[in-house]
Amino acid sequence: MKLLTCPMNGPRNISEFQYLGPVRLSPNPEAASDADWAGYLFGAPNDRDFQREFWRHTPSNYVFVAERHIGTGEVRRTYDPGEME
Amino acid sequence: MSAVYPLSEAGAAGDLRDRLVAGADVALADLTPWPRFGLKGAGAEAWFADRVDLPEVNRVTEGAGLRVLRLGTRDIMVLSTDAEGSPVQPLRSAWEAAPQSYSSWREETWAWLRLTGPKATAVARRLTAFDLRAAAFGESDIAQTRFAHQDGVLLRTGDGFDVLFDIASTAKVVTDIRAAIDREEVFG
Amino acid sequence: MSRLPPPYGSRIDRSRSLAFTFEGRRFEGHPGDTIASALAANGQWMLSRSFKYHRPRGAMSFAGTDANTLVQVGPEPNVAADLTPLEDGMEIAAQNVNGSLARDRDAVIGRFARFLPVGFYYRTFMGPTKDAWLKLWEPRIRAKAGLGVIGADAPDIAVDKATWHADVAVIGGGPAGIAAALEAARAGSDVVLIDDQPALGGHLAYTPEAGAVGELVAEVDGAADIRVLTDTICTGLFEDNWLALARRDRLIRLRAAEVVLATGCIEQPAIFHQNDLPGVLTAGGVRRLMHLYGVAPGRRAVVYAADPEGYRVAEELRAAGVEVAAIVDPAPGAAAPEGMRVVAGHIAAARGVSHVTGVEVGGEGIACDTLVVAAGEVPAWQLPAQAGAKLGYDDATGRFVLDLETPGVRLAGGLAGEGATPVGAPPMAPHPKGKDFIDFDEDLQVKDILNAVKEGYSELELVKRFSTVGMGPSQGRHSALATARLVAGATGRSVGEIGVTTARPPTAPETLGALAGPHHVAERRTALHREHLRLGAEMRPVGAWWRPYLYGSGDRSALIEAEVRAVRDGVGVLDVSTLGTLEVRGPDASAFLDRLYTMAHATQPVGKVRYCLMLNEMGTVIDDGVAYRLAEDRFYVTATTGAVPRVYADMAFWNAQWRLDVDVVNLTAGFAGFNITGPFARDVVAALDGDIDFSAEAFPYLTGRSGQVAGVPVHAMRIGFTGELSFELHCPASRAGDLWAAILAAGEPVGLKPYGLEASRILRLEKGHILIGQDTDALTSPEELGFGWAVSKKKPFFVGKRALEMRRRLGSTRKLAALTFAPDAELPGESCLVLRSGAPVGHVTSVAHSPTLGHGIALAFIHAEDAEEGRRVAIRARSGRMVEGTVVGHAFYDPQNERQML
Repeated sequence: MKLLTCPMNGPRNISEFQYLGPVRLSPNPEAASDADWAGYLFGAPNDRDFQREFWRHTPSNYVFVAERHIGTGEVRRTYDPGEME
Repeated sequence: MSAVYPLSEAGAAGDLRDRLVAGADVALADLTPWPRFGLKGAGAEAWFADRVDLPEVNRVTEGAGLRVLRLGTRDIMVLSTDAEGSPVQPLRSAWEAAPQSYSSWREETWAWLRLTGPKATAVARRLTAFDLRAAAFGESDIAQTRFAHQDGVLLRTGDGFDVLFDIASTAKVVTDIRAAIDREEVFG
Repeated sequence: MSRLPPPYGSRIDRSRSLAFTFEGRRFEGHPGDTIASALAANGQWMLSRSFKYHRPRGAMSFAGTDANTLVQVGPEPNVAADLTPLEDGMEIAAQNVNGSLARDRDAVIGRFARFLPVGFYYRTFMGPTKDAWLKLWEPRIRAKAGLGVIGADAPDIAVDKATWHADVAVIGGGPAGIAAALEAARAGSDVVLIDDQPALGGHLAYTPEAGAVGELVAEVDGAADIRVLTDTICTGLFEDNWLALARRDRLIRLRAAEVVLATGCIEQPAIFHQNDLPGVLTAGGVRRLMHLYGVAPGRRAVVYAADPEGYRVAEELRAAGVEVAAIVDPAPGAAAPEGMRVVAGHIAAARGVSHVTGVEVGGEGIACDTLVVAAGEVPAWQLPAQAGAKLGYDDATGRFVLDLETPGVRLAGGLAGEGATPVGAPPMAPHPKGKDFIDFDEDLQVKDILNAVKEGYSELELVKRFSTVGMGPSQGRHSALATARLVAGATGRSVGEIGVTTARPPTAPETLGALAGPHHVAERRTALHREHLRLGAEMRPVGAWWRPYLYGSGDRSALIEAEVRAVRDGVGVLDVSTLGTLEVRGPDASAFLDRLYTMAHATQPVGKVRYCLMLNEMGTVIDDGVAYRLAEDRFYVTATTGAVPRVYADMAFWNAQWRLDVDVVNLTAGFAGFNITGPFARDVVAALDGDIDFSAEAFPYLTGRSGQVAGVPVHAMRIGFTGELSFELHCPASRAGDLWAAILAAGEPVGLKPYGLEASRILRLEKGHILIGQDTDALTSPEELGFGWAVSKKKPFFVGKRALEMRRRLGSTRKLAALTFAPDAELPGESCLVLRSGAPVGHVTSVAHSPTLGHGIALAFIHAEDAEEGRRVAIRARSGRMVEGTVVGHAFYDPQNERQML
């Protein structure tokens, strides 16, 4: 059972969390082409590297960002979405 | 008319009150009817800051018949330390008279059980994966975690714990805690 | 049979006896015995028959890691006889036996071994017909190959599951583990020390120096911060030091900041003809027997001393009164201990039929009843490998070596290479008569591994899959090194290059009951659970919730029909407390709902109720409900019962991105709700004391009012699912009993009748209302449902809008349609296919017989071109017959929607 450190609740079993997918930046829905929008919906980058992901701690209903390596699973940082650049 | 609570005569759990125990090693009590009150959302912090000793997030302050729980930056609730809850009612009345911020409705959505006694920790280890050792879970700490298969809030109380969780699951949780108490007797 | 005198037998209590039976014969042992040691003390060495050839087998190491020590104890199969403590009254039977253990009818299979080559099953059981394997061969082979028998009438056993935490977990209670535990405890750490044996001490406990163990154990017992778990096997080491600890019917999950692995080494068998006979024992097995259980292994022993440890065991045997006929040493020119004979060479074969009677060395036969094998050890690599250790091979010691760099895990004692003595690799040529076993679980001989390589399976993982080596209960503990040596030799690579197959949890057998833990099924009850029971409701689970399915007993369809008629002709009340309810509040509440739902909420007046339709980003309908605007900054929002946990989570997820000033609480369990519906609904609510005006003028359709009813605070909404005049009253759950009692009392004069879930489903289908999830699937767009009216054209953004526009341009070939059936027609079931020119174009999503209309009604996806009033569509019913439905372009019941507007 992997541990994940919630910025609000500290380290917990990963079974206390819900994975909400990679952080994706939406193009302007009114200006984007169909291809761009389809790319936003379906074209996850999937690089073997750290990616920003949304996770939710279910008992506190708190959503945060984790920087996780999708090859090794290593989480190097978690933080509140308000701190996202 | 009397309020209906999950373990009371007409409540959802039926005759589960006989599954509560008051033993020397471990006791399980239902505090669901005890007064509590909370605000959540914009303005909650400001409203409570004027009236109580406001703790940090996931911490509790206690005094004057009241425990103040900070469940989030803008999620604060107070628990009575007895069945009458005299300090809780004036707070609620003050808020109802001039509502600012929003009720968190926890007195309706959450049941409240208390597990105490020298064996409470051994029983609780069967119900949660959370680290219950004193170094990780101090007197004034709040654990928002999984307990008895429920998302819930865990607090230290004396030699045991208070747990607040989904009120609709009360019957199931009481049954599960009772089973864990029995397993502590069998397996030690 | 007599035991060796004390101090031999440190673990047994000679003052008491335990009676048990094995294969129907009565035996006695002592507390502290394992099943296998008690049987050995009685001269019963044979415990089982082997998996494939039904050869006689017994315990070799008495360490609990062997392959052929599994026995049946009462209703429980696969009990490790050399690990499980003997209990009074145990009824023990051998496994994999046809007939009796001593005279196994299938032992003859061994004589045909040359007709059972490796890969035999894959090649042989392919015919004669296509499914011959499943129908013909597999059932026969299973009957032959059964290990234990599960007692179907076995009593329920108590199982336990708990989670512990510690600063340091030490796996292995030998000297290295004890030292690590004491050191950590002295440094102030909270320690858990785990060992698979009933007492600490590890290998020290079964040497002549066992006295030293007592002092170490006393020190552990005196350390307040060490929790000791004996009889406990660590079956898995998972991420972030999460350990699975199996203690018979208990499973303890332990999270430790640091893990010290000190599980020591595993003795290896030597490879020779008949190396599997009972009476062939490892050096450690002999020591355990004598020192722990006071059992002499025999009267006359031959010791194979490839490892110098063999010489020490020979001395111990002589000290215990066992004659040592010879020491066989592969290294030439070794000096013989005083009074003993040393023969240079390898053991070629053991003699005997059901027990060792002698050995063959260099053409010479030496009579003996015990053959002790000291052939070297390998570190117990399984847990280190799970922790990420890399495995190498040291030619000098003939051992695997481990290299572990994972933070938070370290190796100690034998795992770290301590105490390794040089043991050369033995010659591995196959014996002409075979029976030189590599894998005792799977009955694999030297030639089987070599043949697998010859077949082209030169990679170890492929050798394993083809030959099944290492797949049995001992998980390669005795076969991995020999297999690696054989494959290395046959492919011209080094043993280190070959290595071992991936080590996965569990490292040892676990009981399924302990893994499953105590029984658990989620169960949620509404505040009125007992009231429903009191009214004679039949309760049924709907997800986790228990709801009234119908009220009363007797003819169920008549009861349901009466409940439907009560709503159509009078008035009924349904407990809708399980409906998802949320309060969305804050300065940005309406902006938040505008982004989340398809309709406009910013412009929704206070006191109005508006339909809500939620899409995902692909434009698929995922939920619906209503939003009642309580105030400028507060909405009371409903969601479907099954979806509300996800809707609540999605709201948090979206707002983590939008950062609007809004807060959401999930009121589902905290608010009860009652839908009062039927032509007389207003008579009921108007009769309630309170401050809400329920008149048609003051309280029109799709509005909401909040106030007091019968002294209870309520949100009242004019909405409904039945198509009749409906009022839905929601109140805090703690007051639900009061409101319910007041409603029943107010409804009595007009015959108010509580109704259940099945009547509710029929009522909604008569009205053509959809259920998200039942009448929609993962691709359903609002257009396919005919819900274009519910999608705002003006809002610049809502979740799914952009995808919806793209899908609109693509078009859709299906529509959800309402179908009617002739009164006497066979009705199709849910999921039955809608066919068009013989090809499937859709399926039935909901179907029922309408008591109100007197014929069958259904919702179904049909081809878009058929979605016109009066068209007929073909559906294949469950019976296989084709039935015909007629499309109607409106609700089945009250097409003009007049009744709900009363």
